[in-house]
Amino acid sequence: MSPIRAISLLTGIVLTLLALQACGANSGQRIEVPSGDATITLLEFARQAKVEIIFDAQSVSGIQTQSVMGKHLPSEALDLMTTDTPLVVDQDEHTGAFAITRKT
Amino acid sequence: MKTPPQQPNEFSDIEEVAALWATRIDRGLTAEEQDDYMQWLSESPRHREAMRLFQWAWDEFDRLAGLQTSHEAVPDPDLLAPGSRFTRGSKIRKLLKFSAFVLPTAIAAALAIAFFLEPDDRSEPQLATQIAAPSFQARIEKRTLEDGSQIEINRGGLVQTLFSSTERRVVLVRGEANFTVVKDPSRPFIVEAAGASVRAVGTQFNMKLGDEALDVIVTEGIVSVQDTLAAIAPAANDQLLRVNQQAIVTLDSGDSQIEVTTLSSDQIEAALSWQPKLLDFDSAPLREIVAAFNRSNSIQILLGDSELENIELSCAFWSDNTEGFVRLMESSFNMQAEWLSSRELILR
Repeated sequence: MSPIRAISLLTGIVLTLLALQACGANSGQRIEVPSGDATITLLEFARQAKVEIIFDAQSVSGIQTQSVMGKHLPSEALDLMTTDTPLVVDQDEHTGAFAITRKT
Repeated sequence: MKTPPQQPNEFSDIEEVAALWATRIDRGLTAEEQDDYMQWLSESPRHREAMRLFQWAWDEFDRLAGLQTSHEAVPDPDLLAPGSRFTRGSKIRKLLKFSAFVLPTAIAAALAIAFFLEPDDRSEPQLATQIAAPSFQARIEKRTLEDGSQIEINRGGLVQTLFSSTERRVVLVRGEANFTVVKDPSRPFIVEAAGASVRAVGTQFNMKLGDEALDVIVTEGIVSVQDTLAAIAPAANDQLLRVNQQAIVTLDSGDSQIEVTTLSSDQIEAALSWQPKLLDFDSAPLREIVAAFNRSNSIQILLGDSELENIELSCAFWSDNTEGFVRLMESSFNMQAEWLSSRELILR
């Protein structure tokens, strides 16, 4: 194999691996959390999405989160759940953990 | 001016041998080859490191083998072969040729930019006595292997997986790890450490490699422990270890020994306390949550006042993620963290 063809093949392999990684990272996971009181639905979301979450139970109590059904990244699912609610989502960029607070 | 003596090209030689072993492992090793391979592996940490890199590359090639086009039902093994439908098209060939020149150029440009943008701290050498800033401990690594078995590696630990068609071999290079093994009687799961080995079919066990001894604790199923490197087939002198039993293999003398004892549930809990736990709290005072983190970590969190102690929070958090917990306390709950020492921080 000529050097140019070898380099071309290697380049193709590297690009393909990068594409595979990108696809894998964005594929999301199945999350099915019906609408309900945030104190319950947020913990259920964390269980299904296998993510870490923390929130002030008193301040989010009584807030109804939206239903989420489908394949989503955890951050997307949380955004959908908290749409049209006074809840604010914060994510620790290093560890991926979430904190949910109520808008003041 | 004298020319410095040339270093032997040792790393290239190691890479060459590692590549050869990677291909042999893929097709399956004979018993003799296995002995040779383990001997070579134990000769130098650089051998193990080279194998780890080649094994990773080999795994990635396996993934490529499963590639398929969106309109074909099965993978095409000749997808990239000369003259195939994929490479025959002149545009694609031109694109591959073009990328061969563009990509190295882009990487070189990126390196050059990074070099020139890097702040030049060479003119001000760091003081040797400078104290490192306190920092959080790295999280405990959880790894799912290709057969579905899981390894949790304690901080500072290092394991290497060497799977073939006939066996699943793992080397505990240093530190401590917990193994949850998926049953596969046709491919034994063997963990090696410092010349000793543990064989399991479907089970859960913990291994801790110290300077003088290897400590094995079984929490599910049965494993066999040998004070030599294991072959694929079980040996007659294997020491069987059952649930709640611990084997300590002494490593400090040529004549190694295996001592087996039965542990109480408290002793097992203490031995496995390094493993992260899911801290699941529903409207619990912050002092309870912090206490749970403190029980699992050497870095201790203090609370600055009683008002903070009584804030009620709900959480699902892994006990080894002190870092994420503290940062979210700061960013979302208006607290401030201050390091008091390298092992203590206070939230106010």
